[in-house]
Amino acid sequence: MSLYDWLLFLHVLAAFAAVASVVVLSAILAATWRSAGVVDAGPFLRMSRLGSRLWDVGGMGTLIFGIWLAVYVEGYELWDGWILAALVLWRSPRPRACGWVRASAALSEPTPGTVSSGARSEASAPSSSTRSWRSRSQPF
Amino acid sequence: MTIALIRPDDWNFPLLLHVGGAMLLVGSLVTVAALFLLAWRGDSPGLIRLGFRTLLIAALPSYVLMRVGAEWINSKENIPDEADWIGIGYITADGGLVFLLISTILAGVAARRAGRHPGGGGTLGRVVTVLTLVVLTAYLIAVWAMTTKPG
Repeated sequence: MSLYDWLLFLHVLAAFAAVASVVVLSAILAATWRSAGVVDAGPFLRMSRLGSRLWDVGGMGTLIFGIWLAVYVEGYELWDGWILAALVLWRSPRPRACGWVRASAALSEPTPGTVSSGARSEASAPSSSTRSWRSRSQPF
Repeated sequence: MTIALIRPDDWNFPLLLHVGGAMLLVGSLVTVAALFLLAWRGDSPGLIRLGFRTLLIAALPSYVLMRVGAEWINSKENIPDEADWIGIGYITADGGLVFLLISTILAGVAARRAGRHPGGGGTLGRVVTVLTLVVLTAYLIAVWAMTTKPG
């Protein structure tokens, strides 16, 4: 495999990881959006950490290997319009998105009133990770 | 130094459809694998249900996008079928569909059992986890083959 093959593979693989991060975070949002107080937030917070790590690796990898490719491949320049547009659009929306997802998951912690209704059998006491996360940060 | 080859403009959309579908498919499978891994030990009907829905609502439509895009771009590029990387693509895509369908059916049954009896659907959930990880590995090999084009 040539250097170009490696760069392209790693660039695309990193982009796959970045999109996987968006899918993971979207699934958590979809699951917790309308279920405040009736689902155990612990697993969803763990999932949000996975989404966050995927974005860290994927977002950075896509950027680094993409710029490397643009410099390495003759015929592309960093100041080509489509590359500049991609760099501008790549400005990370991740911290806010992850914050929303974590807030959504944390807000879905069971509350005594909703748990006692017995509507959802999976409701349980909030995990220690949920409590510690809530005590450390403001959801919004 | 590698010289850039600029593809014709009318190849762009089919290629975007193919790669975009593949990205969403892999993202969905990562989500499903993570959900079922989290549900592996505990009885978590919510996680199993979400995994089933992700397979049904995200993974299967993404597969269709990826597969339709693949045929479309293949018809435009006229790549010989005997190329190794095309062969790897077809094997992983078609074999992966079988695994994907079995996983979706098993996840549906597991979600139903888990909803009825706490702790139910555990074994089926573990089978889905393994199947999903196998498909995910195959698709990562396919990504390598599509980008490096061996043979």
